[in-house]
Amino acid sequence: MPKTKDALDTIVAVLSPYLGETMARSAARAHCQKLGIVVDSADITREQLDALLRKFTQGLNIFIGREKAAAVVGEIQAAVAARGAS
Amino acid sequence: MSRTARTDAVFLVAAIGATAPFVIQLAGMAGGPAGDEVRRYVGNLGKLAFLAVAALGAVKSASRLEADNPMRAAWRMMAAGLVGFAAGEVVFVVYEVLLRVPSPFPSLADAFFIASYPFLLAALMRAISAYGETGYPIGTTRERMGTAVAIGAAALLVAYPILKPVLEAPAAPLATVLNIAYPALDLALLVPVVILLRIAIRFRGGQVWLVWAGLLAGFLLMCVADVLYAYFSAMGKESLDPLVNVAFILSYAAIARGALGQYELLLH
Repeated sequence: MPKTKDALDTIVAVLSPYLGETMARSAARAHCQKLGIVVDSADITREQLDALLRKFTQGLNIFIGREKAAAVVGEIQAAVAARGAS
Repeated sequence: MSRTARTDAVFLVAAIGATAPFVIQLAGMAGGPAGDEVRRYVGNLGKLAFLAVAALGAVKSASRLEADNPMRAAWRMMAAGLVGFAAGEVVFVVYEVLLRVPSPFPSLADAFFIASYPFLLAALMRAISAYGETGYPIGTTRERMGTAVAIGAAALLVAYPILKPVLEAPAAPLATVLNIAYPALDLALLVPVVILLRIAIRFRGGQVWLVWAGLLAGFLLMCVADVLYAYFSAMGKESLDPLVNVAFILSYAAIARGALGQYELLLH
């Protein structure tokens, strides 16, 4: 798994075309705070990533529908995994 | 060029084409009877085309969202309101383009327009609630209440000087009621529009922002157009009608772009 900050940057990069960078970043920060994820900590765990993506999915479903939201979340998971492997 | 940029370009060209005959008239080049003919066709059919696209975009967006999606109800009500507006515009087209007579005021069109407002208001209120359900940082309920009170108070302050001459102008009772009702309903619409604008601006740079920027700009312009229409009619300044037409065309174009943008967002 990648560093928490790198995972968040990846999430923000994938979501920015939909939510705008400002909202993607502030939502990531707010969700992390609610979930007790420390941004500057070492690697993000699988459980933390899944919990974070569940939070984002809730909002994405409303804006872009469940089908497309699932595709976007899949894209984030692939990007985070690729970043963790590199 | 991206799909969104291409659609934007098509809308821009269509909006410029539909408003050009009125802008030229405002510039003092009415063009005689030929100019009147061009404005009759371009104005009425342009407005109808934009409203039809807006209604279709809203219907398709609602149908693509899942049954438990809170935004589905918002788009359904938006679709109902926009279909009502399109029906009202059809009445204008029948009078002015097919029968070639000035459309009477009041007419059946007003029944469609007035009946549409509760749906549009409900759609915008539902959208505010749906935004709240996203769990994203969109501000507090207290902030939204504050905005509602501030805009409501500002609307009342603006309404009084504008609507006073409308109320005092000699006209049939139903015409006076409608000339008051349109701006009043628009000002009521302004409250959720500004709240949504404050929420949506946090999404700037994203496609969600583009959808709501279009819709909300359209509703703001519609408010301006209705207020100008009522004011100019009451003051006997019919020479400024082209300005009202430009505002209505741009309003419908912006709403259509927003509604179509939501459908594109769900589709691609």
